[in-house]
Amino acid sequence: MFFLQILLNSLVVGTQVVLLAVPLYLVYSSSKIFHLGLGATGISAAYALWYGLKAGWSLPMAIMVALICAVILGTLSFALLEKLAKKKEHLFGLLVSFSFGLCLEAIIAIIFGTDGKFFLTTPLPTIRFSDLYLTFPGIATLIAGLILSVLFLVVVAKTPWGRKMKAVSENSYLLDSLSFNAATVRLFVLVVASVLAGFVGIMTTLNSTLIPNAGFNLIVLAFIALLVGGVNSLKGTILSAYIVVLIPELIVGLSSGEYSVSLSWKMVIVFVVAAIFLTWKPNGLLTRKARVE
Amino acid sequence: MLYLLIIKLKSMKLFSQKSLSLLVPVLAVVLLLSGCVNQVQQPKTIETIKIGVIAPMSGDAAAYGEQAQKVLDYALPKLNEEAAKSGKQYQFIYEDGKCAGGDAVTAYQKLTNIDGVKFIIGGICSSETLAIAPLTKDGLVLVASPSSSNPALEGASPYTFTFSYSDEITGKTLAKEMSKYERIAIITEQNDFNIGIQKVFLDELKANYPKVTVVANEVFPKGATDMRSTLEKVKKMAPAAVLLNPNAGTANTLAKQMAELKDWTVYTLFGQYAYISETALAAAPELTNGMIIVDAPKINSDELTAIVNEIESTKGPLKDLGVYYTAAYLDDTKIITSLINELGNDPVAVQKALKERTFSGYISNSIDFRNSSFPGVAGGIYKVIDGKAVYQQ
Repeated sequence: MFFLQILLNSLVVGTQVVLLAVPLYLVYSSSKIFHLGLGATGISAAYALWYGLKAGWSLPMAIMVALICAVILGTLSFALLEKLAKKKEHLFGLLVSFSFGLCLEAIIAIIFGTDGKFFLTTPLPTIRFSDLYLTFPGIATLIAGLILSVLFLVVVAKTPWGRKMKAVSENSYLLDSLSFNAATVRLFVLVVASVLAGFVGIMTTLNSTLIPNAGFNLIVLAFIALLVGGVNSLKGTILSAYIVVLIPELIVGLSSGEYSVSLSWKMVIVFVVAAIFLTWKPNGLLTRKARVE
Repeated sequence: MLYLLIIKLKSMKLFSQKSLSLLVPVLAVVLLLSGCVNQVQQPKTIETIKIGVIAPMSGDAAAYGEQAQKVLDYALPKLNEEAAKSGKQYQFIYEDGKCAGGDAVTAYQKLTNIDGVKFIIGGICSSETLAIAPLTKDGLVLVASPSSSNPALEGASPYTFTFSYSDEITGKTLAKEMSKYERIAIITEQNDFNIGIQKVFLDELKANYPKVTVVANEVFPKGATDMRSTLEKVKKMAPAAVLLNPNAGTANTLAKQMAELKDWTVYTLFGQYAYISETALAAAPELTNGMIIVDAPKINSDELTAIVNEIESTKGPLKDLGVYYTAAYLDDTKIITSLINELGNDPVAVQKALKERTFSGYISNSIDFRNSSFPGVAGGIYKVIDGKAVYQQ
């Protein structure tokens, strides 16, 4: 039972990372830019929801405001990154998106303060299965993670929209000549990615505490997952997100007594695991070696 | 002026010529003397002395910084009233230490290099004060923290003092209280203040209570938001008593997540300063009911109660700072400024006086730094009853 409980807790954290790694992958696939500002975008949407609920708005109204916030931030990201994506200034794009995230965190801290906020000030409601338990936001995260992972796997691999998204980053001029607007595709992807990040931000902070830099650890884990899984493979990204989270969580959770490994070691183990996988499979877990012509 | 007054009295015919001739020299002497007194009370030049204040004005512990500012805002006019007698007035300059060593050092450098302060009240957090203490060793600046309690502050610098009780007392008292149980667990946040308590607590158990077994000794990163795996591990070891040792900003998250484990109830819960606040206790009222807390001693002073009430009614609540640290701020500023009034803006002279004299204040009638950087105040034991920490002994 103890192992299953630790596994359940770890799966919730892993799914939070998966849900952020998917939009990171989508943006990379359409623009070849690692959009590290997505973590802060998600947390901004969570703050918008929290503010709405605290101000006494109805839940649908507060959700609508959070959604609008995510869409605006997605559009703003597009305005910042589009030129760089067109010019293929990918490294510069990474720096701009990272700065965008830091800027958002600073603005949140100025407006709302840096102390922890709670959607519920009392303990979260839980669902119990025998001796196991999960919080409601935890269950919602697991279910949403499963549905969205399958949905995006299908959309990216099996639909024309997925092929178009990949094509736009490979040769946007060729796509333009086929009367598709590459900029519109990238704008759409950034908005969808920001809304997804908003969902993750809300689910994560609903399950714990809302602080301005809550998205930072998540986006770092999602970025590592993307690198370990292979930047061109959504399947690999999802798999590696669980690997880089579950291994450290299980080591920390299952060790006990004299040989207990404290939670403080978690990020150290994450980097060690990532280093091992990146040394073993530098192109990604599920990426096949391509023949160089 | 005197001439005009005499003319007026004469015209009113209230006095005879004889009595008026007696009244004139008397009035002249009185007016002359009052002029002399005024000259003593109000010197021509007033020296403004800047005192730096380092406190967390942002971050998890920002509530403490904001409430400390309320106390200092209240105290400043009274301190200046006293200082005016010796031709001085004080100005507090606030800098954000963010409860972190690096930020406290930046704040210290700004205060000393740019503002030119020679005295600093702060930091609040042990991390802040521990970081700036080594910088004061040359005696150019004196630091008097109102609330830092890490035992490592003892002797950290001859020019660094704290008005807090020591975590050594907290750690030892907790060890004594928890020694009634054979299997105990401790959950600590990775923060100077908390690690300080953890170290003293474990050393004390090892030295004096060998029968007690620490079945879980878990540490989580500073500001962590998900401690569920850590709690599961502690639960698995089935301790009879659990000590929660987080920082103030994380205390309610830890209590909330512990309360979600509804089937784990067979243990006695212990805590420290972070759980004295009603806000932290309200996060999980059922869980924290009956919790034993070791914190500052109870202060019985009607005067202090009146001051706290006045600050709370005019400037807002002091819930997080609490009565002890409000008193510590008042004593800290009063003692330091009274010594500056007497000895001048000279850290070396003030330090010498602090080391040689005994002071009386709200926190104790005998604040004594002669053999320590701490004021020699003992700890107190509280029990949570109906959402409030009630003093026991």
